Amino acid sequence: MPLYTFELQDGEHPIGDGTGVWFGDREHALDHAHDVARELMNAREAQTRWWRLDVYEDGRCVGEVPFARIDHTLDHLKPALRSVVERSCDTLRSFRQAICAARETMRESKALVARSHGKPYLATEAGQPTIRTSASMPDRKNRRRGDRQEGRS
Amino acid sequence: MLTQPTDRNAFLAELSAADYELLRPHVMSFMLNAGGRLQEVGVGVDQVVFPHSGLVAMTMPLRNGGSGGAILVGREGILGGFEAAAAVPAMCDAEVYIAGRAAHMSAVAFRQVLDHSPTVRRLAVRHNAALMVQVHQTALCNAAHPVEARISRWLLEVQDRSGGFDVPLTQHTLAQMLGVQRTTVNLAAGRLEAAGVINCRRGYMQIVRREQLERHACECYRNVKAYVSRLFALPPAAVLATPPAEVVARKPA
Repeated sequence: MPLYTFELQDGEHPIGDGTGVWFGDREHALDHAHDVARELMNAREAQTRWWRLDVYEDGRCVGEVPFARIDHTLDHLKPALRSVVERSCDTLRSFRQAICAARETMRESKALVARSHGKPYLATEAGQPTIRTSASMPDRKNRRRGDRQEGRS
Repeated sequence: MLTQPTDRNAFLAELSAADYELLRPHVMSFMLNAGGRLQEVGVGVDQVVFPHSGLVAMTMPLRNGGSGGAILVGREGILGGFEAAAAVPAMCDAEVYIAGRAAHMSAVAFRQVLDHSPTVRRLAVRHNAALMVQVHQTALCNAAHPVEARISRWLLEVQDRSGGFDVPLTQHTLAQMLGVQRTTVNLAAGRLEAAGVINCRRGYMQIVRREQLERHACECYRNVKAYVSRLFALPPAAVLATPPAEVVARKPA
């Protein structure tokens, strides 16, 4: 029985579900992802429309649930218009992710310049090191992958 | 009004010395063990419980074995008081989420004390009103507020009752309280963690910035707190026991 994990793409850093859930097949995992997405967007559909929930089977992405696709507040739209909204949401999410990455780089650059001048600098932001070292970067990237491995054992 | 400083439960602490003497022969201390079940929906209530510490959640069971719609009772409340007063079966399940100390007395003895003392009766009704406002607010909250706001609210509610910054609740328990999937709680709590508001640890959650958590919480937290504060800022039940002179004077002969 494979372990399924989930990762939320909210336009900033991906948020991983560390523990995961065991399901008999992929269909059940996708149903679960739909339920989770509905619960996450409940009562704030317009604010979460560009979010997406990715489904991983033993660490491999096997499905995506864009929130716009299951947003019942868009049900009144004609199919053509709805698909335009869904595509716009995808673009918006990518745009936000790019802005977030650019902000991180700027913060890191400022910290590097300050450090090179021997001045104080912001060392961490929300628990993450501002200056990404070669050692910290894979950690950060693989943190959720590591969690998955931990959940599998 | 004399209070009983040795009793930490708010209901017992608010009783006058005379009223406490009515209860004292029947009250016995015991330990609340995490996971222990204090009452079951539809089953007769034998005991009224006064938690001194710890946390009890009142939930409704689901057919699939889960539960939802949690109401929290800590040292500020009583458990089974309404059922004991009305001699009706339990309206919901009650399970200990955080271990602690408590006192209990038989439902029959509690009912006799209520019959005997109008001040105890009034105080019990006041505590029941505090519980009811939580019920109403939670019903609205479950329907109208996003899951992150609800998680924030419950973390604040639990912290208010348990004290420290470590909230000894697992994400599984929190999911049960909110009636959502555990994955949903993991992801929503992950967003709060990314914002630097909480830390999720194995077996507990840590509140890092309470003021930010209050900003993330829905209005329900403040509404319930404000109502309960107003409720207990009212004149003590003992003062209300005697009608004011002008009311007595206006009574028809």
